Amino acid sequence: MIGRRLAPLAALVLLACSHAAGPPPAQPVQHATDWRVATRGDVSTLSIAEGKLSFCDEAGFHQLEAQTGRVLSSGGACPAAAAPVGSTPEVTVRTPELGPDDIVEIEGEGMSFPIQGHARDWASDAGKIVIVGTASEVLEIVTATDQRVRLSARGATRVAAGGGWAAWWDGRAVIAHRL
Amino acid sequence: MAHFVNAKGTRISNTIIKGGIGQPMTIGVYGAAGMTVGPNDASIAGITCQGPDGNQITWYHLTGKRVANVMVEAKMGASVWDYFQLAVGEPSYYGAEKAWAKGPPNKDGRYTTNPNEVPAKNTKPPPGDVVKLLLDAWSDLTETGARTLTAQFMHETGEGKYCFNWNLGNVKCKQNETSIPHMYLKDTWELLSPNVALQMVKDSNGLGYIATDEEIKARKWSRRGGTVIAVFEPPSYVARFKSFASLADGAQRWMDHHRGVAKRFSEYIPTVNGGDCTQVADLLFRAHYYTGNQADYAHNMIAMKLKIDRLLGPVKS
Repeated sequence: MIGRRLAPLAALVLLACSHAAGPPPAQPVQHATDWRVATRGDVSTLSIAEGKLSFCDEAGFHQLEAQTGRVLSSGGACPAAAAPVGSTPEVTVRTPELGPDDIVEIEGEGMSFPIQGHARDWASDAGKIVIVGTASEVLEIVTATDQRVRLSARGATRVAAGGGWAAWWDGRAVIAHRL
Repeated sequence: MAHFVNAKGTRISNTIIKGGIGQPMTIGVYGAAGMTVGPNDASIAGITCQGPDGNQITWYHLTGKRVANVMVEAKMGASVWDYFQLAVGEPSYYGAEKAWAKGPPNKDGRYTTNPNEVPAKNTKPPPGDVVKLLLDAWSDLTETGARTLTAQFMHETGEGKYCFNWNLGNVKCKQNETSIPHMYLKDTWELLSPNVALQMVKDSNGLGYIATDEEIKARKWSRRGGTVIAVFEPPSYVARFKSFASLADGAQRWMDHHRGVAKRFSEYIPTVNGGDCTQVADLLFRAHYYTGNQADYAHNMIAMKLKIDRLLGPVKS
């Protein structure tokens, strides 16, 4: 695997426990590089758009500012599930010969990106990077250089990417990481 | 005469069967009508009836509660008609029988009630159809070029043997992606660290297990050091793949990817049109299309190309 490194996760843990729907931190963090927020139950959606990270868990809908982790809203009703919106360009994951490893492909790229294990979720930021969650890790694929960066040594079943940020849900918390 | 059977229908009367705490096992009783079936000590194991099938077998889930042995009996009144001994031990997740929720699809071929699930069917495209599809959709290709790419496709899918629901290359669904046409394939396996595998199998609600050495050998699977093989069965999300309506529908992504390779490597189209499978295999290797042995890939493509040429006859000039 090319250029693997474990991205340092700063020990910045916001106390914005979602089910408590507590107030935003009194002192919003200025330009954090990593932050996390605890979740309750399963996270059904996770996305990053227009500088905002949004997710739904059993406590409802939550929206946080990606740059700082500041809670913008928490505990409201989850929007009705919309039809899936494919990322652009489209990312495809295939399992050659139904073997143990997957291959990630990006529409129009002409290059494939083999990974170890099976992808659970994947998201692209304009095709420049792809975030992949497997059972064992969260991986950033830099498509131009074919570089792989291990963002987490824990698996994830929900990932998101956008605006220079990646986010994933590891079963206990949503973690955001500046790329 | 009533008697106990295991999940495969094999008689288990008077035997000792091992079970794990908290792990339901499927057992059946042939001719159970009017019988009372269950362990003679409910503190050691619990039983729930799953209902009868069409073969006079009533099925049950038997779950150990604590480490101990207990007699499981089929009784008519006070008379014991059949029994076996359940030895409840610590839970183990090794072996296919530990995937207690694994079962055949419903009568309609599906495993769930999701209307987007499509029964998995082998879809073996005739090579001539793939060639025609390529020629119709990609004007840069010659007849030889279309046959070369068809050879690549035939190799990738084991001549269509491993192509289901027109899904060329086993394109996956995301973990929560059930709102598009999808299917489930059996025995989806993955190499995981023992801890991760254990957790995943525990979380699979009886749809996963860890393969034994015997199974690994029999299936000719291999594993990297420090890993075990976890296997997941339908309808586990790990076993969920996209389903396509037709060859043309399923081949779109495959063709688009080859177009992308052609954009990246200017020599790709001339090489494909020249029918040089060894060079095509080399370019695809450089594009990371596959991770296996390059010489084997080339060899298999050449063999497929020969088959296609024999089948379709000489290329028309």
